[in-house]
Amino acid sequence: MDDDRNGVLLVRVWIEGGSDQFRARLTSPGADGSVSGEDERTVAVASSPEAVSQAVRSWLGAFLRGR
Amino acid sequence: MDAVQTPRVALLDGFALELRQAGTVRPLDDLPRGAQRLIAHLGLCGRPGRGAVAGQLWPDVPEDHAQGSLRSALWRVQKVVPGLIEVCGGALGLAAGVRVDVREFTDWARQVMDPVVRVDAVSTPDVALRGELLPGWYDDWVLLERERLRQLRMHALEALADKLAAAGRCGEAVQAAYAAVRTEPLRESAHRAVVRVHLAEGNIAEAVRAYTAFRDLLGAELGVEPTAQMTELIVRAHLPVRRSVVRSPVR
Repeated sequence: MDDDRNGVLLVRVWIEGGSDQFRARLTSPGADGSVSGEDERTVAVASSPEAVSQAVRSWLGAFLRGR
Repeated sequence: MDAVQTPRVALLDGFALELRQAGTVRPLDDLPRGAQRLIAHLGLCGRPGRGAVAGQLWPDVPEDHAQGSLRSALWRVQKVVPGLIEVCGGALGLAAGVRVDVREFTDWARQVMDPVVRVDAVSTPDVALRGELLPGWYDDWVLLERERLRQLRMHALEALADKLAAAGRCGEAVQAAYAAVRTEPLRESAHRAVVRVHLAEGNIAEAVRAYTAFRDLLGAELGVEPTAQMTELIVRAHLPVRRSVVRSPVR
């Protein structure tokens, strides 16, 4: 149903061992939500918290616009 | 449950329930989704209370409806595999003797990462190289456990690669290291394991190639260089390090 849309966005973050370097990968399942884990779609990768915030905002905007 | 039948629950790479008896394996393919979710939840969570199970599996309905759905799922499971689930007081759990691939994987990973366990005491079972937990399931209880297992797999494979390389089993070591890389292609510690294995077997050209491929990937995807720790691996081996072309930080 169109009025019952929902979404999943996974934000994986880590600090590379032995350094202070931040890394992140944002992924989401396919449109039907029933894809295998291997088909997880990478929404963005980032090397700063600011870039993660920007990518999340962008994803939420697309979700609210229905895309 | 028939004493000679051994049920096995697979949750990695998708849900499956099999009965093993006298060398034969009988898959049970027709379980309804509610029954699958109940078995999977108990395979991951041990012996939770009935209320907790109902709340986790049917979070969007009133409590009495959730309890009704739980009773229905329990009835269906008991009909197909009597005795698979034990009800003890207010708690539910898989019966003793039921094998669960996630538990086998977790035991294997802990052994691999134990520094006092030698690599020749640890085989690499099929479950170590399987895919993700219940792909396509997006319940909260699955997502959190999937991420925990993903982290565990990555760390275990890196530890396994180092142990195998130290034991001179470099072919297996490089396979383990690349399996870690596949879990998260941007994770540097996995790529460092690849480089270390190549260096351990004296394969300088492959070490440099692996370093260069990672450096270029990092430059293209994130616009950053490898850490000093990664570069030192190459420098210590007296190999040439060239800088990558750094691009925009986010794609």
